[in-house]
Amino acid sequence: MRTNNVNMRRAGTIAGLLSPATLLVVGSLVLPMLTLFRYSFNAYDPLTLMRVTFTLENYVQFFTTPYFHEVMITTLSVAIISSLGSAVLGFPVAYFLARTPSRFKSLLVILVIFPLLVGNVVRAAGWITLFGTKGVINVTLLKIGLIDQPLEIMYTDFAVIISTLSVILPFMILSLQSVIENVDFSVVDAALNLGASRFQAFRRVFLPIVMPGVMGGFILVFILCMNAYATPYLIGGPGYKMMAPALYNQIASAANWPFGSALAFILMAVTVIATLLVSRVVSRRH
Amino acid sequence: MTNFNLTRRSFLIGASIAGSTLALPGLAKAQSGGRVIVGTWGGDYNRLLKEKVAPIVAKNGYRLVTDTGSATARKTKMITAAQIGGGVMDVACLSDSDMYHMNTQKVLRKISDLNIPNYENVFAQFKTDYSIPHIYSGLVIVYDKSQVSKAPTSIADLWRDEYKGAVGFSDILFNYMLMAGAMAQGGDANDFDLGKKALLDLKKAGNGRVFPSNEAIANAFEAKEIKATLMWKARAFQWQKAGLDVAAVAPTEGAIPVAFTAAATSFATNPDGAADVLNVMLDPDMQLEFANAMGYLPTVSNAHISDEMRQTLGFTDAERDAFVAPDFEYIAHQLQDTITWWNQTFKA
Repeated sequence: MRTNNVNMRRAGTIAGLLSPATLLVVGSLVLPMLTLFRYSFNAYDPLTLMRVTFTLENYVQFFTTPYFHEVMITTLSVAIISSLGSAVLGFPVAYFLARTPSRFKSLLVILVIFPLLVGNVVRAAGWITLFGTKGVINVTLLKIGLIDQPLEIMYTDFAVIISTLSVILPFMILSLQSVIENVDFSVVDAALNLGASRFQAFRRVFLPIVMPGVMGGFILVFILCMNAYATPYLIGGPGYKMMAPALYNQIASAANWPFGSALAFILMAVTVIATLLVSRVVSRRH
Repeated sequence: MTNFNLTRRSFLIGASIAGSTLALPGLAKAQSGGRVIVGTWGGDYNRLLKEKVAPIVAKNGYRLVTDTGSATARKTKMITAAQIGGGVMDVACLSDSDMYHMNTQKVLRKISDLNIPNYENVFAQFKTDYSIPHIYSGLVIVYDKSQVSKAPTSIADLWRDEYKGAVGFSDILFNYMLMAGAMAQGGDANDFDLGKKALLDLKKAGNGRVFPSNEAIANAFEAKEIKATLMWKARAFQWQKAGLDVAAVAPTEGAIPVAFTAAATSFATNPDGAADVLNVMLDPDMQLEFANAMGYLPTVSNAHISDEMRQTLGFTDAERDAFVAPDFEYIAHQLQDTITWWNQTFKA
């Protein structure tokens, strides 16, 4: 009886502690998302902006319009290339940070985090001064005579991927570093003692151990890339085909909330499905 | 008889209380009319509303508060507020075409229901029964003097080889670009099919790059990425002031006028305050403040601009006669189709 009372009291305390966060999530995330989901089945009207009805027209429009297929393919391509690029570029840095005995390690970690202290828009402005027709790259190449006309770097896939990489790289490095720091390297040493080459020890012992961390980092940055707005818009230009700018355009320019809502849920669904697929493929292999 | 000792401290306390009491009527007056919420654009417009209009409105007993955001967000708020039976915007500032759209949705108060004495000075061509025209300008050709051998005179000139790859458009002016395209073909400005054809011809020739904003167009001029654009004459004035070597010319096809307007919403909780704000916006001194700061022209007959300003910002009688008025109803009905075409075909 007494145990029951204690359990009930504990359950009440836990519920009490959880309820503010739960209310916040329900009030500020779940309810607006449900509202938006309902909007996605309404119809757009150029004068009244939205007509309450129940139609699949917005979803049909997305799947039958070639333009939006291109938007989705570009979004997935940029997200996959940038995420893979961040894993490849971030791994050596994370490994060094995790293994270095340097007393400046904290300083190095701060240096990695430093770009996160600058907003995406400010960072994009920095890239514009680098990539622009009169930017640092073009001016330098023109001065040393390698080119006689400025290169078109802005508003290209290359520019968008490079600037997206700069946004996500710190996230990837920090995710990998925390995983590598927890690796028991005596297992790798054992593999080397048993005659494995360095590459074999890396591929068959070290990599399987850190793979869940790599996957965690990959998923984190992949989601960030899929939903990127400021970087593709500012670096890729107004015509760059990615989902978040296309979605924002529907809401902010056309005031087409039904179609904008449908785009939001399609983006969310594709991100979740792609994430699950990646998790499944990686977990099967390792 | 009571012995009354006035110390220095008690004198100062008494004086400050007396002073506060004297100031109370002023304070009470400043609050008596209540708050007036003005939905507006950000930037200079918002700054001038707060720095110039608000103090005068405060003297009349109202507290002006601005709610800044994009025009689309404001329109969405207004329609939603009217549907749910109330909102918190007393005055809305929008372009003439957006305001027309809002009037079709019956979310505005009639001008005749409001006390706006300065409205009688408004130029007849800008009068509507649902909004006040606050400032105006016209869409003209703006070109870089240092890059052009012969100044353009018509919109059609921008299709010439000299401008190949060097004409930029602002993303937010898509409706006006379609009108200009149709005019360049010698057609009716309100024939968007013709406008689309003209713009696609320009695009096929590697021209008509779209920049995210009017400010991005200025940057493109600065970087010599473009030679010409179609833009509000007021913007050309601002860019000249900022040091760009640009000039503006009203095209022979006619400039497209634009008025930035303001109106009291149907759900305004402070209609008297809203009317006072609109009245102050039409005050001749206030009109000149906006003209000097932003380069847009006054809309009232009793605001006298200098000859220099008239030459820089204004239009001659012939140019005004040649104005090509947009068909707001047509634009509103075409909006979704226009945005789809602009994003998915022209910009893509």
